[in-house]
Amino acid sequence: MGVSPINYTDYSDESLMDLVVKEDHEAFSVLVTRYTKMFYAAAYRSCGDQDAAEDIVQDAFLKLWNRPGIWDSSRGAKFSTWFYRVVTNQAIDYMRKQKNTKGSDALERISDDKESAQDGMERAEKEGMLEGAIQDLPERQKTALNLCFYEGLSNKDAAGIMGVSVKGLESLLMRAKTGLKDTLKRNGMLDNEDDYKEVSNGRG
Amino acid sequence: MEEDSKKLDAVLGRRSVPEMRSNLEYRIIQAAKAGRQVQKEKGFFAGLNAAIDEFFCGLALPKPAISMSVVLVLAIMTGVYSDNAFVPDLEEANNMAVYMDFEQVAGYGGSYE
Repeated sequence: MGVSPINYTDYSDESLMDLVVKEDHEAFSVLVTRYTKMFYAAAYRSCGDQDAAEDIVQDAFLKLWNRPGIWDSSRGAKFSTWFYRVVTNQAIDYMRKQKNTKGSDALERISDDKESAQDGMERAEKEGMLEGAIQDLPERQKTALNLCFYEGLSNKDAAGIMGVSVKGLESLLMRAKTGLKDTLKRNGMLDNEDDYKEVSNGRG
Repeated sequence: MEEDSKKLDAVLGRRSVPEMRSNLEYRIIQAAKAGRQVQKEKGFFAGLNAAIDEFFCGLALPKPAISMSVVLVLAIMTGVYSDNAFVPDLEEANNMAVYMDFEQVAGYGGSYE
């Protein structure tokens, strides 16, 4: 099969999905290229494991390719919002299977950075603590936090993905933040004014 | 309280995502292509297997209870309508009854007067 003469890069996600349903591999490739990084980040934030996050995203895309019928364009949903749900569900399944068997990668990956050993250790410790605190949140609170805070979805979209009302989502977010505040305070992570200044306005 | 929330948002914002370890996009695209290829190659045999399965499913006996009932009914009907050595006709049956009666009387020493 040669390279398709059609340039799909300008197509909307939904138009590409219509082509994927017709087994158009080129359209599928464009979708994969467009979204892999974003959904990898979402999967990583859900499970805290690089390899697992890659597997989750790969499985989700292959599921879409092998069974494109799971996408129902007539519902009028945005592809990215709908696919968040697919990836989030895969990640939740993974976490249920892996519960208590593996920690996060945060400490491990910091050791690769080219900074002084002392700084690296300190940063690794803080990141590990933060990642641990987030991973320890109840599943739904964590998902709400990830979707709204890190993925930047609107409350309405996030509520739709999670199958809860907007009020319910806000309650989950509130509880997640309260729980995190308590945990991080206990570990002294909210006391250091320098940390706060250093990262203010930073995201993701 | 407000200050705490700002600090929390700042700390949360520090959370980072590591780079993907491999060329994930390429892997996914290739895996999808390979998967479809395997499906096509398996297509003929999968179709053949499905046809064979369907044939044998058609031959398979239905539920045992129904099968037994059908066999029983058929056996009774065969018995009723067949004319074989094991089923005496009416005349023969009468003769037999008379004979048996005689035998019975003879056995009791002629109390049949």
